[in-house]
Amino acid sequence: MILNIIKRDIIIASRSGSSALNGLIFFCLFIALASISLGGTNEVLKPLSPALIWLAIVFSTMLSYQNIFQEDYKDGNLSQLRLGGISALNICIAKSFSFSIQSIFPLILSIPIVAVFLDMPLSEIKTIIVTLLIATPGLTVYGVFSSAIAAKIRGGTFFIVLITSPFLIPLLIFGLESMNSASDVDIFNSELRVLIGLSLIASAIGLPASAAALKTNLE
Amino acid sequence: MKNLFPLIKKEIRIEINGLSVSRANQLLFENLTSTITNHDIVIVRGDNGMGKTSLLEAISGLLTYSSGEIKFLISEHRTSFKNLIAYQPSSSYCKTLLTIKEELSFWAKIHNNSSLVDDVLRFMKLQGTFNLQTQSLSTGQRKRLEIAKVIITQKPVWIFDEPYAGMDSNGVELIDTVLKDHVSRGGIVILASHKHTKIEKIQTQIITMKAS
Repeated sequence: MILNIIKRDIIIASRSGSSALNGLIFFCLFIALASISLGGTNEVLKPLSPALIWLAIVFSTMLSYQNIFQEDYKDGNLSQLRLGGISALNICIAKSFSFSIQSIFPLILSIPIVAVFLDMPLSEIKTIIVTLLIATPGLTVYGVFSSAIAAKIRGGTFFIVLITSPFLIPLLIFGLESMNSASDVDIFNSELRVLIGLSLIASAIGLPASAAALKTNLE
Repeated sequence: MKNLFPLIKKEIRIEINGLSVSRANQLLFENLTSTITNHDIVIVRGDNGMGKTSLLEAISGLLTYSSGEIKFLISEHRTSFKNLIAYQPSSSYCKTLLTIKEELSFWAKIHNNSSLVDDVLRFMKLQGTFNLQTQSLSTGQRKRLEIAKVIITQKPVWIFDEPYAGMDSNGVELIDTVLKDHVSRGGIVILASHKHTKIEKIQTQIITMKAS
């Protein structure tokens, strides 16, 4: 059941192309504008590039949170899924997967290309991809949660940004810290373990919470 | 071709007791009482804004009501609305970027009836256009797809909000036949409509919504 919903979401997203593309364009623009405003020299940019990429990814996922439930709520698909006996929790799990596949993975895949422009060393590219993959469940579930709350609210983007930012700050801090203390020998430093913990906590608490929020919105 | 309509042998009853629904702090209707059972066709009539859609949504379990009770019974045992109800709102809930077949197959999988997809497409005369994206369908085709999606649920209680809107006389007749076939096999149909069609002759109950 969950797989069917994910598959359908991916087909729709690939045909409209908008969600992944919007995020990707925003991501690249953010990096480009930040590089220009910081002077554009390698000496300045190089130490800042992991932070820039992290920020760009957090911002562009934040902007696509709104779409997770809103359309399905508006056109009545969520009610129909409920009549089909699909529990709110299963809907949230399916949406988490389809959101990470549509909106976060394309960004992570584009990192190597962006990193070349920022002149990042290979080891740093590797660690940033690993940290971001680990943070993906956290980034996703907080989005699903806020979107489930805001499903009824028209133009809820600002509201979503407001409620997700406090949750995303720890992810950002530990993601960047783990990059700073990562070395070639030991990629699994304590900061990275905290990041893993944050992602797991997000999934364990966030998914039931989103399901509860979605349920109240559907009644 | 096997019969596409579910044969309902068990006794099904929907008991509505003193139902009141309000929307945006405004009371739409109160104290509605009715019992609906197998072979029933219930037509909900009333002017715009009298709460027809709200009543249908309340019966479908999609709207919380302020007071009263709706009981769903299968052979005298209480059950959830999810086991009984197929609801088609007045607007289509098609995903516009999917083809007819993808859309129907998805809901067939949700309701565990994938084997029926091709038969239902043929029955609703959609087999020639199954590869068309639903955004490019005509009103009639979209309506036929909606009815196909209701059939594919194989649920005993069908609830329609304005099923005849935008249909020509052939389309109206097709809908009437489908509803009649379903009811003749023990199903229940509840519909809200402004249009007067042949289905009225065999209706068993009319609920009229009036300003309170």
